[in-house]
Amino acid sequence: MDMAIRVSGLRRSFDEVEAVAGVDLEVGHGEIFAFLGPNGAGKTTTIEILEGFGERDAGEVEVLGVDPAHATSDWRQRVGIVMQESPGEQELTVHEVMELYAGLYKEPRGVDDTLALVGLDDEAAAKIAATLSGGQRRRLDVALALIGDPELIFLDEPTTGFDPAARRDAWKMLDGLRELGKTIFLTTHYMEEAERLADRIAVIAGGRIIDEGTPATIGHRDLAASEIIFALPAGLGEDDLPGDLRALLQPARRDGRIELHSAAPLADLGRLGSWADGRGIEVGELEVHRPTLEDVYLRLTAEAAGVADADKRPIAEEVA
Amino acid sequence: MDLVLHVTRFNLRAYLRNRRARMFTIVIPLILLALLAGVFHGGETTVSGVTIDYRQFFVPSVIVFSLTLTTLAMLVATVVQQRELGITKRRRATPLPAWALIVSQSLTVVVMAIATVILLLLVGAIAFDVHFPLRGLPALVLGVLGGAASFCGLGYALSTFADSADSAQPMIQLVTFPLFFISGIWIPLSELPEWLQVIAKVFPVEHVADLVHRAYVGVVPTGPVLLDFAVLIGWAVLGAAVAARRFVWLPPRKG
Repeated sequence: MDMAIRVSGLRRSFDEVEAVAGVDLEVGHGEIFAFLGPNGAGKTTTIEILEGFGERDAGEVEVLGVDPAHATSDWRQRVGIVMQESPGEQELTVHEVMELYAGLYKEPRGVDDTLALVGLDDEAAAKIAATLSGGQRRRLDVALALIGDPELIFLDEPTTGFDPAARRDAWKMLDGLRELGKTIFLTTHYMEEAERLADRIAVIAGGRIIDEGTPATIGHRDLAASEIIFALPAGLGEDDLPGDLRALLQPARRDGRIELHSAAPLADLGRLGSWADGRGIEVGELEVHRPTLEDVYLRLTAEAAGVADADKRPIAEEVA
Repeated sequence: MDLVLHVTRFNLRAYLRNRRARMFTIVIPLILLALLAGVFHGGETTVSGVTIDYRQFFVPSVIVFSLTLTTLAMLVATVVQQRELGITKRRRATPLPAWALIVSQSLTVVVMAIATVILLLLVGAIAFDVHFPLRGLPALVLGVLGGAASFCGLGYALSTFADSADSAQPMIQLVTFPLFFISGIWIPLSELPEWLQVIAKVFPVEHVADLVHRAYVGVVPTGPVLLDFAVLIGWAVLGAAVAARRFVWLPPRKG
């Protein structure tokens, strides 16, 4: 199948430290791909190579069918980039900055259209860029990446520093891009964001991809135990539970509730229900959830760090 | 070329809205002109064998001073700042070719420099009665263009040695202030010790100053004028070569 991005065996070192140590990944056309990993894991180095800004020591890289190390002007027409922290032009108005960049492409989108798409209104368009709020600045960054009507967009931490409402708005905007059929390569530190937006996720640590999958399946999340948490009425304790539930008990919680880890939550809830019915008691403060993406991510990266220690191979220093 | 003009147009607009740029290119030269030409007159000095009033000496001096600031100093400041702010990287991420980006950045400061020179020519004539002889025009044009070329080349070269706008400022001053002192701008070259004159002639500022001062007294023999211009082009090429080896698009890596 024709892929938007195809990377194999990618390596890059800085002063003895191997920031990227053999990365393979593929991103399909129209896919939203989240690239996750702790600071210093090799994310920025990888993304810079994909964007045509970084050199590599080894490996094959193809982005929209072209090796970005030989990025041409034609290739740049088809790729949009939202960089991490970019204060950008200070003295021009939002509209002027957009006109400036629109003029650099053969077939740009309309300036007003694009500003509307990212949620910047006429009032914001008339503002001098230096006076924008953080959220508005980020919207402008996204608008600038879109102005050339690219097929592929790199979004490097697009919502860092956003308040929750601004983040929700940004997600809506990215959903809009999905509907336009754009391929999006996203990095973020917010697992909720990756879960909400991504079709597929890869986690990088120590310069290697340590796992890859959909938000639902990554790190065997679909197979991992669910948590069942509840409170028993006064006078009853965990020792009163039936034996097969007692086997699932976790260490005591600070809030005094009981926590079970279950691979078959529906069956175990059924047992808990019949037990409680039989005794005529109510099980209060009941919660059931499967591990969050953040739980999975933290486990994966912690495991990777452990492996790296065991190998005496240092995790790459931050090269953000 | 359309792309270059397109980008230059917006660069100029941003430039004119920048207070520091306006200070550097317009306000400071005008204040200097008012102080020097206004205060020092009545004394005499000699340029290219012609004895002239201090005023006639200082008007071209301020022109050379502001040409250097507008091209060399502002270019270094702009290039370093745009790199730091990610503007260079963002523009590189568009279909804009690298040469077009560099030419438009240079063109921006050269246009500003030419505008400043014209402004100072006019103010010198109207306010201080220091008139420019038409036969000096070719030397003036060579001085402005050669100076702009060498300072742009040097500017790009120097910009690669500063990793932030903060560190660029002292570097620019360290380079320009001694050169101003020894290049016959504030003190006529003939009044400096011989060895200092020799050093001055190695660097471009003296040659720009020579061309502009000659133009103002109207003594413009072809040989020395072309020699000055050749030295300036030499510096432009040297600067461009250093820049080509060292120039980077991305801001320095953090952490």
